[in-house]
Amino acid sequence: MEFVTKNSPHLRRPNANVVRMMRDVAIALSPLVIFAIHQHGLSALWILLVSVVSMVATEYIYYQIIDKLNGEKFTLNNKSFTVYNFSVVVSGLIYGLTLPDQIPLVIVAIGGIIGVFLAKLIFGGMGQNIFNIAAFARVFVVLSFGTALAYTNHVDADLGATALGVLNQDMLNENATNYGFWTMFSGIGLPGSLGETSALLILAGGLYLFMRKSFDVFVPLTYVGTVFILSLAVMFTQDVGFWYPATHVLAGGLLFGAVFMATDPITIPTTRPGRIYFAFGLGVITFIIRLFGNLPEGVVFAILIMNMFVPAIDYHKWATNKFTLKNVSIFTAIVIITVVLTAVGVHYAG
Amino acid sequence: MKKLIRMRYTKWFNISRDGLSRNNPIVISVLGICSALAITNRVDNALAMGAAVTFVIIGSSLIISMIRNFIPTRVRMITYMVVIAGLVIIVQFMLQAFFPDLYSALGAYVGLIITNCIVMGRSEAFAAKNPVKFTFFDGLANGIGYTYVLVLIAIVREILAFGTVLNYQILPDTFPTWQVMAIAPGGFFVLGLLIWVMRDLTKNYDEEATA
Repeated sequence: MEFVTKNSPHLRRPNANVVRMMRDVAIALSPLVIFAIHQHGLSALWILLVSVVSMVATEYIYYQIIDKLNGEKFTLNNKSFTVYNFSVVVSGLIYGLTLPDQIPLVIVAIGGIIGVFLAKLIFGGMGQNIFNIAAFARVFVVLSFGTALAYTNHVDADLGATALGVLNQDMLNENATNYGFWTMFSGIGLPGSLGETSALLILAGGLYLFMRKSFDVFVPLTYVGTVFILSLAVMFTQDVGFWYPATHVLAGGLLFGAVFMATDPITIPTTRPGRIYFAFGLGVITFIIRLFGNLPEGVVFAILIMNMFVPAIDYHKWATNKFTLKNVSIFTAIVIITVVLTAVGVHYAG
Repeated sequence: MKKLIRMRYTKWFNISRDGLSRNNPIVISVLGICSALAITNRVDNALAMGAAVTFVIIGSSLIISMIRNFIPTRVRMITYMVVIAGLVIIVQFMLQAFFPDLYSALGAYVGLIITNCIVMGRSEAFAAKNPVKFTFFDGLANGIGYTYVLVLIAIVREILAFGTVLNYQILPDTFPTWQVMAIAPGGFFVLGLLIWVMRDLTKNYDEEATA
C-alpha cells in the first residue's frame, strides 16, 4: 500500500493542489477582467491593478519584516509569500472586481492593504484565515467610504440606480425591470461593480471551474437556489410577476459572490452537508439584508457572517455519514420554515 | 545609584508597574473594554473618561480601604457597589454642571462607569486587603494605565476618522476619512492591534495559549 503525504487541500483527487485550483480561479476570472476593461475603459484596469498590487506588496513587505525579526537574511523570494500559488493575486482580483467603477484609487489601495493585513496576515497567512479576504476588504471599503461608491450608467443616464437600489427604496417596485432581461443577463451597459454585472461570463467561469473540479458546485447551486426559492415565495404571496425572482438572482453581486467568493476552500466548511448548510445560510442572510436591510446588497456581509459560523456547522459526524433520511428531512423542514417565515415577514413589512 | 537599583524591589515600584504595564487593566487583564470601545472616537472624550474613571477608582479604593476592617465578608460586594455608585453620581453631576458638552458627548457611558470591571476589581483584589497609602497609589496607577491606553486608541481613531487630534486639523482635507473608525468596529481593530503590539513588547502571553 502506498502512502501519500501532501498539504491540503485533501480532496479525493490525486492531482489537486493549491496552485492548480488558484490558477483555475484566475483563468475563470479573466473574461470578467476583459469585460470590465471593455465596458469601463482604462479606469477599470487601474482599479484592478491597484487592488492586486496593494495586496501583493503588503504581503511581500510583511513577510520580509517577519523574516527580519526572526533573524533570517534577506532573500528576494520568500517561502511564505503566496504570489507563487496565485492565492493573493486571486484575492486581489476578486476584491477589485467587486468595486464600483468610479472609486478613487487611494481608497482601493487602503482597502487592499487593510484587507489582506487584518483578514489574512495576522491570522497566520495562507490557509489560516477565518474570513474571506476579498469580502473583508470590500466590507471595509463599504463601511469606511460609503459615500465614494458611485456607479456609471451606460444605458439610461436618468436612471442612476441599480436594480437592487430601486428595490431597496420600494420593495416591489416594477422599475427594477427597466433594464430588460438581456441587459441583466449579459451585463452590457448595466450599472454596477466591475465584475458583477455580467451573469453570462460569471456562469461561463463557474462552468469552467466545475469541469476542472476546482470548486464545490453544491455551494453556488444551493446559494443561488435559496435566494431563488425565497424570492419565489415572495412572488406568489405578494402577487408580483416573474421579474421579481429573476431580478434577485441576476442583479447585484449574488452570482459573482456565489461562484467566486463563497467557494473559497479556506473559509468554508469541509464536509458536504456542512457546505450545504453554509450556502443555505448565505442565501437566507443575503435575501433578508436585501429585503429588510438598509443596504441594497448583502452578499459580502452574508459571507462574513457565515464565515463566523463555520466551526459550528463543520460537524465532524457529517464527514462520513452524508445524506441519511433523518438529515435530509431536517434540512427540508428548515427550508420550509424559512420560506414560510419570509413570506409572513414580507406580508407584514411590505 | 544603589538606591535606584534597590527601588525595583520596593512595593511602590511593583504597584505602579502592575498598573501601568504588567497587569494593565485593558491590555493584559482585558477589563473595562465596553467604555474603551465606545468613547475612544475622540481624544477629548477619552481624556474625560480616563479622568472620571481614575477619580472613581482612587476614591472607591480609598474609602473601602479605610473601612475594610468593618465590612462583613458576606455583604462586601453590596458595600462596594454603594460606594462606587455614590462616586459615579458625583462625577456625573460634576460633568453635567461644569462640562455639559463633554457630558452629552459621553452620554450614558458616564453612568456606566459603575459597571466598569476595573473599579470593582481593584476594590475586591487590592483595596480590601491593603492599607490606605498603597491603595491610593494602586488606584492612581490603574487609572493612569487605563487612561493612556484609551488616549492611544483615541489618537489613532480620531486621526483616521476625522483627520484631527483634539479637534485640531492635522491631515489635509483631501484625505479620505475612514468612517469605520468612528464606529465601534474601528475600536475593535485598533484595540486588538494595540493589545497584540503591547503584549509582544512586554513579552506577556497567555499561559494556555503557548501550552
